[in-house]
Amino acid sequence: MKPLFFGEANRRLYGVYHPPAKPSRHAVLLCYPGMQEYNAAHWMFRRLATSLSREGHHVLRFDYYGTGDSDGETDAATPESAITDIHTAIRELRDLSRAREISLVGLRLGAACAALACTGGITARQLVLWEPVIHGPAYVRELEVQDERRNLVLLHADRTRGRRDELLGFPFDARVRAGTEAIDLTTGPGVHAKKVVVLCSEERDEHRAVRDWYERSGVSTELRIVRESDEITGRNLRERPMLSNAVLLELAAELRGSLVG
Amino acid sequence: MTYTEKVFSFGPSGALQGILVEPRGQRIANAPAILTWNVGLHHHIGPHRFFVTLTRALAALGFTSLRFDISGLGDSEVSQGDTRPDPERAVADVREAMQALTKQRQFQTFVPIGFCSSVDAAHAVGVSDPRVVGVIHLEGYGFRTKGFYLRYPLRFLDRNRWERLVRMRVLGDREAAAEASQDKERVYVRDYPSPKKLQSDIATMVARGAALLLVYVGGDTDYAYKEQFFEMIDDRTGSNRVELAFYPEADHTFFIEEDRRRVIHRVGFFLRKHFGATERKTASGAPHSNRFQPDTSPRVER
Repeated sequence: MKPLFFGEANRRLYGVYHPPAKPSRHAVLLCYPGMQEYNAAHWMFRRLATSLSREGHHVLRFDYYGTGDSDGETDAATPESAITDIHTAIRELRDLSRAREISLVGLRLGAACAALACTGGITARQLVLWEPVIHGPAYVRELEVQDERRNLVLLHADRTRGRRDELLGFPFDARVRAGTEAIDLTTGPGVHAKKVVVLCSEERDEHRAVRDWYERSGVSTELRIVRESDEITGRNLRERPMLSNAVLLELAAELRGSLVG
Repeated sequence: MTYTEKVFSFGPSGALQGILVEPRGQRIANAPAILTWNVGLHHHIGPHRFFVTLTRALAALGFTSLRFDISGLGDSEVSQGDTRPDPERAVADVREAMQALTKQRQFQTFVPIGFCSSVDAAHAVGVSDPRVVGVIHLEGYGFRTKGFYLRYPLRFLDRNRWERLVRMRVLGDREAAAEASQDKERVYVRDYPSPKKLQSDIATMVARGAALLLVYVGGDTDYAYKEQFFEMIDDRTGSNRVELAFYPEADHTFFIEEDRRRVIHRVGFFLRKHFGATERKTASGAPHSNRFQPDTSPRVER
């Protein structure tokens, strides 16, 4: 496990590179969810990166600009900037690994950004969309509901009623809101990937819609349902990724195919 | 930017990982290094990226900080064969951080910042290690006192509390009730030192000349007024070295950005007062002195 800073001098990104346990020409870039869900996902991402590197993949997990240990104020992070950062991280991962092919695994907002990053400039071996944010407005609404409840529980209801510039403890100004609400994976340019896997705990219309859209764009796309234990399904999406062994095993099995290709 | 950040690996086999945050401009001569680490199971950036914002703000004041993961959390690994209990290992890791900063950056003195559960290790190191010249507790030890109970009925004047009660009990918002219940389990169940032990520990640190900043919040905590700490330990003799800050509207992890900003200002002011008295200029030429005045308006700090 090798922590490092990379990228432009005035826009350094923090990442952790996990070298493969055996020589390999395949690399995996892990894309964290949005900052509201980052802390809950961090441990799972470390476990996933360790597991994939043991299987023989080069792995890089990294913080977008304005998140985690990367440069930038917290209010500087937008979906657009995250997509730029994914391109930077792919270049870094290529330099570190000399890999021929790169797959991307993104969770929630990270899945949406990974998919949008694959609409231009890069072709992924596999693109794994893990509980992806498919429609930005629905995601924002979901965060707003959680935020309202959190403020009620923490006795901040009076102070925060009608407030729109923070969500779940993080800045969420008009620019971030507009960028997030603009996300729609069921329209726009198709992704450049040999295969797309949509991984989720329950099948919904939006999952089928994104699968159908990608299929129509000529990309082989699979919708994979991973059932989790009752203990996990009872929790909200911010907490599930930290706990799910089933998803971790599924991801490792899915990406194993890229090692032999 | 007013800071530079570097990956900082230390400890046995370099298994402990952190980020060293150093001032880009002038540093305060002989200032202690500031240490922050995991709050609960959060990795070293802290809740809502608190420690990233804090350490960068402190770098702007001339302080060097290390924010790191204790072994087994975040990006740090547990050394093979290390079977020590977590609390013991956390204290050892803080000492490793101090040793590494002495070796690699010649720091001789330190100020650990404990936040919620990480207060335990900050306190233990503060009591036992003479290199610790200051200790900051954010939401550290709180015991109910007579003064707490006398003020308890004031809670029922808070409209937010009634609104929560109605939503959970009358309107049957089960998700809110479950979240409140989970918070209680996660946040408030910890082993505290006894008041007598705490009194003796504080006396030890004060006798050594260490300065302490103890920050508390209101909400659902066991803390109700600023001076409650002195009532808790039944001792005010060290009060010239022990500073208290109380933010009645804030919550345990400073969920609201405005609250985080105020605490960061307060921490900066405390550190400048005790360890950075010399007026120095930033790289941009602006003096530091007015940047971190304590926010003492009655609404936010009592």
